[in-house]
Amino acid sequence: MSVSNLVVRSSLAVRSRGRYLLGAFLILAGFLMLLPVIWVVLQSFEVPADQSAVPPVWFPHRFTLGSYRTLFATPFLVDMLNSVAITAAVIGGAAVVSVLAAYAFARLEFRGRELLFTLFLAALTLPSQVAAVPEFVVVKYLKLLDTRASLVIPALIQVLAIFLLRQHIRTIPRDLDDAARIDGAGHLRIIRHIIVPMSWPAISAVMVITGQYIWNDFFWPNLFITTQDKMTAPLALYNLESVSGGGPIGAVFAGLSLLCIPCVIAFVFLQRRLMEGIGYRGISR
Amino acid sequence: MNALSRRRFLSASAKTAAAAAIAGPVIAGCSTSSSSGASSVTSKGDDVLTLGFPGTPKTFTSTQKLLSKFTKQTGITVNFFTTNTSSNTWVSVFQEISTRLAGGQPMDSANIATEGMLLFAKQGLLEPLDDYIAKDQAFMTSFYNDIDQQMLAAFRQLDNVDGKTYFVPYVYNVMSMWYNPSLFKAHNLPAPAPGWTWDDFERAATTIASAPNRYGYAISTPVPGPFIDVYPWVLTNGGQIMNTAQTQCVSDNAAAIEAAAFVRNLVVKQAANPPGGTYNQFTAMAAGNLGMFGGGVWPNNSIPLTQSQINSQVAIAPWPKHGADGTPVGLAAFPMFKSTANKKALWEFIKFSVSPDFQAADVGIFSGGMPIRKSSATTYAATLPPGTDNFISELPNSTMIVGVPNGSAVENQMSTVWEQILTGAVSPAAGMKAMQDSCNQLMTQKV
Amino acid sequence: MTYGENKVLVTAGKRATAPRARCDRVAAYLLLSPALALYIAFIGIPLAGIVVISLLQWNLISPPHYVGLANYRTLAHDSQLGQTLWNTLLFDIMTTALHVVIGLALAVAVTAIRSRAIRYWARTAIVTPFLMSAGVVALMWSYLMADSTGPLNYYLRRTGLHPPNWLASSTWSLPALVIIDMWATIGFAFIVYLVGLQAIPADLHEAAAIDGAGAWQRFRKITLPLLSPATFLVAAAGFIGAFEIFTWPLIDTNGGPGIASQTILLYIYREAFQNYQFGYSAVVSLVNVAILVSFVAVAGVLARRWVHYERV
Repeated sequence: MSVSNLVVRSSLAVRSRGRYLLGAFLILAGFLMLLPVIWVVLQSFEVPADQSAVPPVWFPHRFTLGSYRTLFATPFLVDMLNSVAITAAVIGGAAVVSVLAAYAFARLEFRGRELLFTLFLAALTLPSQVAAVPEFVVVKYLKLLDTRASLVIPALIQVLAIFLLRQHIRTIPRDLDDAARIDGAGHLRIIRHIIVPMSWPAISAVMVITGQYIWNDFFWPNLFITTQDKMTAPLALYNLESVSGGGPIGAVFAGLSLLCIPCVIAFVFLQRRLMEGIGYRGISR
Repeated sequence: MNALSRRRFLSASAKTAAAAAIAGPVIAGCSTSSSSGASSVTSKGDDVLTLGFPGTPKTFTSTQKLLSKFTKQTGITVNFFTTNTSSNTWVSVFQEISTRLAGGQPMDSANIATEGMLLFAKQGLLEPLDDYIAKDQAFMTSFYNDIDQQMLAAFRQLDNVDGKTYFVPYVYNVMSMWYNPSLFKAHNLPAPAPGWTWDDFERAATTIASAPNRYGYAISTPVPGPFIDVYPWVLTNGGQIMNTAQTQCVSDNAAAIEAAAFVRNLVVKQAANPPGGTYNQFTAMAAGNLGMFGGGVWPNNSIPLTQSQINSQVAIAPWPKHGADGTPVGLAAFPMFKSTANKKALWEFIKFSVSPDFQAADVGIFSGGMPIRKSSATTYAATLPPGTDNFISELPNSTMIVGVPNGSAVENQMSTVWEQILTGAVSPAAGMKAMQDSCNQLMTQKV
Repeated sequence: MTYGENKVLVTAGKRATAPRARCDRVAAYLLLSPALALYIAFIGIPLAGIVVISLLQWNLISPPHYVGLANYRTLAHDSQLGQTLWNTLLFDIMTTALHVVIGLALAVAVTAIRSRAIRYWARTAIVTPFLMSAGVVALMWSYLMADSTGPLNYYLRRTGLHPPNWLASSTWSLPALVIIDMWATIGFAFIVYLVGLQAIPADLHEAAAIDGAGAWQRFRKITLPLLSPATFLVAAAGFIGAFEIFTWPLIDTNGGPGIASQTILLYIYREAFQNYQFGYSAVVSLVNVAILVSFVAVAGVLARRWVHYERV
């Protein structure tokens, strides 16, 4: 049982009846949140006539895989694999870069630390759309245009992740570090054996946030990738719906449904790390 | 095939061309000289062309098959890439292409339409084609004789920069009314015939819309476009949006205001869908939930039915008239850039795009428009829904769509003001005046 | 948390000594070097690039030419900028406030539930929209909110209401974008608060309960202050993120009608890629950066006062 449950439950002193109401509310809220997604998934199995029918057709009585067929006539599967590979690479790489940087900002004393951190934060204010032109030139000179690396390397700097991790590391007692140092551990070992295990919730959160950003990003792949089979899945979907109004919206919905699946799976898997505190060297009650 | 609507089609090509054009001058800024920059980044070898085209991944394969014919004839391989990207506004296509090209991606030419033509011609980025035309005198003369002469004259007026020719158009689109004959019959309405009026149209639209969940006429969503929604109504009322020389926006005239009020009225009476969001007129038509919508040839590739189903369930009529005859027309061509590496190969492709065989059989699928050759147009029209010959007979009354240097900005302005009129946010009179003022102001901006 | 162990360790630990400071500096730069290199290449240089472009008249397809401060002077006559900034600010305040309140409420609710199944369901349901690609989500809502065939208005009308044409109404297009944004991004605030709640040590609550503090009091005096880092993150990231909203207005309303839902980033984008005024677009984006940097500075000051970090 997680400690935080204890915390919140005891702090709110929720009584039985209240808890049932809360539960029912959450079930309903979740359902409402997912309603548009459910609609999209169901629509992907409908014939075009039913897709924009009024009144809305929820359960496809003319079940068809036509939308999926249209979708797979394009190299969508390859694009999905690209997306998976790129997202995995960025999640792993950005986590490493961010943990190292966050540790430095949170634990180490050095001149200009606050200034540098503020500078990093200021990067959050950079508007991507117009930075497109100069950033494009940078990528071009690094000879990374139309490569999958161009989608990974610039994405390894995730200022929000560094910020989040720094916050979290500051809450980890320094004495653990000191104890480890007494045992002869250097910074990297401290990071590996103390900081990381105690930061799994934050790291998982960072991975989810970074991952979803990269997985769903369409702007940068759009800009850097020209060859069909190096594209990412959202970009491929986006290309489908470039036809005005008459686009194969069914195929787009089909693609969207497919795109959701790995995300939800990944998230369900991460939930345990994120929420239940597994990996904590903590006390369970 | 490419089912882009006229508005997006044109803007998409504008972008592609913009992209292509960038390769030279911008590389010049980044490296040594434009020619060396260009030759090092454009196609390697004389037998490869890299062309940008607003196709979708879906049409990619069929387009490539069409081009294999070209390869068989000339031995020149064509590398295609799609310049389309989503977001429902062509602005994003421009952004994607031009930024990409600013970095020096190879591109020999791109499908560029009227809205973008002047942008590049006036920047001195294009290679005049007069010498090439002179060398293939016989072929080109017979080609020019095979085009509607009035359209050719209007086009020459637009394409005339320093008295040189920069574009050899191969496809065009005009607007007509697509309708559902069985819905008309079911409501005892006479089928639309040449000469039918706004009153006939309004009666038909309101009658058909009286059934629940049905509209009589479709307005483009999310925002109406000049080519599809504005020009046809204004022109058939005897009004104007731009002056003939396209130096001024003149939308603040009584006929245009009346046209705007007419369409607004349709929305108020719920005979037409309101703008905003997404209303798919093609699937609605296929499902029998829509009486009419306006379009060129491209809807043929967007309606989710087989060709024979389309030919039996849908028909085409000229635009209803209100005292005048008119339709917007837009063309497209593959220009030659100064930075194009394989100029000779590109010229072969340009000739191919206007060759009788390609025109008769493939151009429609290739670009969602009518083949520009009169002889081919009739052949092609026979394969399409009844009434397709309207696209040919309307040509003499056509007015060239916006082709000013910052056409994309001007078109967006027209769209947004028309949307405000249709939603009732501004009155037609105030709207058309605002359109005139803002478009004129945009046209003074240095591009 | 390892408070139990920690209390034992505290007595055994030692504090930093002077030689460590030097090692710290070297170690710090080494650990920071990947982040720093990436930052310079992909953030620093582009930012400098924007400044350079702001001094040019450039349409991207011809060589640029230097015009000095002319673009900056145009700022003074810009009729769209005021409305655009106002739209952006309004959107921002609405979404940030909603993120903080609703995100916290949901996180607390989910943490308070005993049933694991419901917790899983709620967490997955709330975060799933966050995991969907923005462009396609925008498209989806364009269908959902269409006045003619969209399910949303259809069901609203069935209940007897008179819903507006969400995406084409001068008054309602911005709120419509707020709704879309909330649906799509509440998952972020939710996750951050969940993690924050995790980090609150149980002992504090127990000690306070023993001392007789009531539930609401404990929430106000313990939970909320200890959540202040999370609130700060949600508010700050939310504010900055919302300021740069682009996909929703681009795809769903085209900034319209008119410029009723045009946000600053859409305006920057349009000046560049629709009007071919890259120089002026760069100037407006510098204005955007200036506004956000001031916000970050103000936020930093406020954070020092209001955000409580748990230090040991």
